[in-house]
Amino acid sequence: MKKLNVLLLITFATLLLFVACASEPTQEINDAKAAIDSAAAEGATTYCSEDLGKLNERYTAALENAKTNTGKMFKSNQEAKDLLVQIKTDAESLKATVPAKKEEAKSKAVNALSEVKTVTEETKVLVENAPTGKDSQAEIEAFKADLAAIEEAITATQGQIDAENYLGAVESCPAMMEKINSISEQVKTAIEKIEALKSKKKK
Amino acid sequence: MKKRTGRIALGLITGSLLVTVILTLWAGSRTIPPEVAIAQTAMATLDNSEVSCYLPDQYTSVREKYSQVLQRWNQELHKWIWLRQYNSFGKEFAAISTSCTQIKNELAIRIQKRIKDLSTFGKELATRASNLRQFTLTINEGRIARKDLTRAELRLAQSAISLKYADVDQAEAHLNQSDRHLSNAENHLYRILKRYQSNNQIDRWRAWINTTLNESRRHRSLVVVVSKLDRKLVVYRNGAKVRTFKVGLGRNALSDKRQSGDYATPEGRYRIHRKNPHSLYHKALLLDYPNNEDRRSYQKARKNGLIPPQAGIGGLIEIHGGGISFMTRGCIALENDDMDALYNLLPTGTPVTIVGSTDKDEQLITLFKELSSEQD
Repeated sequence: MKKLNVLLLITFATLLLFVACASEPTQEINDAKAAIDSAAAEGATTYCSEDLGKLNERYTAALENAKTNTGKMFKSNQEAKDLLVQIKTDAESLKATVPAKKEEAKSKAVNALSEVKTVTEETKVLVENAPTGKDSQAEIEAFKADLAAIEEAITATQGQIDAENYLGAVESCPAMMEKINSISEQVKTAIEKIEALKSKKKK
Repeated sequence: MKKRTGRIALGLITGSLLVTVILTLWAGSRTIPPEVAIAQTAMATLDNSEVSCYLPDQYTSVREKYSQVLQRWNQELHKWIWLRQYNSFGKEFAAISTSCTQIKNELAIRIQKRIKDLSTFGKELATRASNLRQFTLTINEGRIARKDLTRAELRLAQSAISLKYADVDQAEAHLNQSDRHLSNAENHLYRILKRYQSNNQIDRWRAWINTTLNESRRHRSLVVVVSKLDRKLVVYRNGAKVRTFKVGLGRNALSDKRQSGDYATPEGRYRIHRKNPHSLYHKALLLDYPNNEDRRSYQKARKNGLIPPQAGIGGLIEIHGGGISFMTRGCIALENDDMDALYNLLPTGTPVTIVGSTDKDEQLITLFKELSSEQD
């Protein structure tokens, strides 16, 4: 009888092997997904896209790991669980860094636009005070049209900043800066040309 | 009896256990084909790429195939482990992986080609913008195209930045915007310059010049011909060129004058009506604008609603000094030294013929034609 009990115990233990650790880590999957979604909603998609991408890749790999284990004879989802818990922690850390990154991008955008505005204002003053001279009036009016286009772009970029599209604004500024610097140079050259002609005439 | 029953039960349990252990070991030795995970990863990579935009048919095809195989695979996984058949799945998932790799490679080629095409398009637009900027510097009317031109150049610079970050869609959007702004800039100028490409218009201007030169030959007198596009004033005696002066014109000089305050320089055959030695602009030769032809054109334009009813025909069109630098309101300006010479040379009554251009192949028009053809 004693032997029978031992055998029954072994049988029970063997059967237990089939069902042990069989459950999918549903809770961990949901928690990790929620943490990633929350980080994305906070702005990680925009400001930490690379890190968020890596997290998503790790999440997919963890899901694969969990899925693969369902097909195994001796199921163990511990590895997948550990991965998912770590992903959740990392997603929460990532979410915590988003406001600082957003603020950094905002600061970059505001500074870049401010520089563009400063050079534009300086160029405007140059154009307003440019002396009229040989062939200059048409040129000056053309410069004013150039500046009008730059001011239009500045307004659009300010709109991007107001709409919290800081990265878009940061990307727009170098083009404006390049253009306004070029216009500024052209204006200075035109003024030098006019002044040279004027002094030549006086002589 | 009890002992016998116990032995039978023990035998059965031992047998069952033995069978279970053998089956378990057999099942445990069966591994999931590695091709499954590889295919899953390959498919996930493809899902997260831009393949649906570039190769939608190929993507849909492999996605459907993958879904079908995956569905059967999941059904297989729900079977008792001893009844599962893995054999065919390895090959099927491997085929999907191969397709995914091929599509991914094709996608990379397509994206590279698109970047190359966009770079070429960007270069074409940059050349167009550069030519147009050069053109706007040569005529007073250039300023009206400059706002759109600068908008176009800004978009071009932004597209270069987007391409640098491999943001192909954004780069294309910037380039298309740039193209639109350039077209707008060209259209502004085209509206003004299209008359200068018309053979009828050029022939009409040439006929005026011929009549004027014939008059000069017939009366052995001085005549003046002003070409607005060339910005030149030429004095003829007995039909032969005597002197050429550079002139400055108004902000809308290339248009024909229609009404008061349009800053356009009139086109037609006039005469010096009066000489003014104490003009605000050094010295001046007042023309007899408007003549009868101008009045007829003005009445016709007013009748057709082309000018507002309250607008006057304008007047006081002069050839005066003050320098060629500043933009007149429709007059023809000369440097003061040149004006002195001209003033002394021409008597009252001298015919002055003002034309747009004498040559339809004039350099500026040729350049503009090139711009227009690039636009087409």
